[in-house]
Amino acid sequence: MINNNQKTKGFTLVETLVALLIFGFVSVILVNIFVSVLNSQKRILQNQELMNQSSYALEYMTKAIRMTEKDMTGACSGAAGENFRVGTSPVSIAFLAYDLKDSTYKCVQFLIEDNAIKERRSTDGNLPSGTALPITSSAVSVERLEFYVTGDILGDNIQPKITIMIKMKSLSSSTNAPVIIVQTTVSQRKLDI
Amino acid sequence: MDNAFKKEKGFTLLEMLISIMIITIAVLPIYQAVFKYTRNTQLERENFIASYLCQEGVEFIKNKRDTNWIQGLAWDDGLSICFGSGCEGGPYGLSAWADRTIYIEAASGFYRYLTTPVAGDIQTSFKRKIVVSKPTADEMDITVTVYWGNKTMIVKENIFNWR
Repeated sequence: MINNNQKTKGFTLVETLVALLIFGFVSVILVNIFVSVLNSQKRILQNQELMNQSSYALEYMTKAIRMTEKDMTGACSGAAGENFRVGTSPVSIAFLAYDLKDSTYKCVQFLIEDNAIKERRSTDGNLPSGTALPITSSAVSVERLEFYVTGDILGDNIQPKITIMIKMKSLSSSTNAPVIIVQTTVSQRKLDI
Repeated sequence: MDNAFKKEKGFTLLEMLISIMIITIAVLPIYQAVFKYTRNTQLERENFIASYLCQEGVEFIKNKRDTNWIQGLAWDDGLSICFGSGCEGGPYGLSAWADRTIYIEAASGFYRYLTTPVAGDIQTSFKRKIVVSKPTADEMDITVTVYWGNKTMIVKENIFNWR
């Protein structure tokens, strides 16, 4: 009886080893696939966030810049008759933005600060000061913001145009976090005369 | 006794192979789907950047037209290089079509054409062709095409000689 039992129930050492080997082999493959799927999904979400944030910031800024006009006093743009005040540290731009609510032009400044694009809004035509409010999320890091302006000098007889470039990086622990560099140009809608 | 052992339940090699095959067949499509999503996200990124480059091309022509108006010139002055075979342009001006790829300049940060790129400048795969035609005297059709790899994005805009 004992003999019979031993011969039928249980596995031999070799059988156990082979079974473990196969089980281990299959589970390693499955776990690898699962981990790589998780990583891919993370990168996809990071890329989507980058596109959302950069398009929002670009659209927000171009919408305001398109509707600007010459600043005859220079209180906003820095010099009488110029359209834009471009700063280098931090990179910033100030101009008169059209306010739909009361159909007037108010000074607005966009700047890069603490790895975010921020905005300062004035209640009149003077350069705004004080706390700047972010227009990009803290989930992304704005690495670089650049403005290139042509035609904003008084009497140059050139229609103002601005090229904006944003370099944005996803905030994540991984070393190869996705980065996006977007650029567009916007020409002032109002004739600069 | 030997016979009894053979009758015991367990897996044969064939059963094992079949079960592994089924697992593989079940997992492979998931893996392929994720791979496809990754590819699509990459494509979406490229489309996204290209759409802003297209918009930029249209704005260059509009800006030139407005400058011509201010200066009292013919509204299409200086745009003849964009007629026919088209032109290419960046933030620093328009030039005749030369089939060049756009760089991201490290110093300025901008997408532009570079004749002598230096270390740090990134060569993108984007090419942008701006073609302007005048169906009537007071109408201009702007067609901006951005090419990269085997992909193309076309943006069309009509502008007029009306202030």
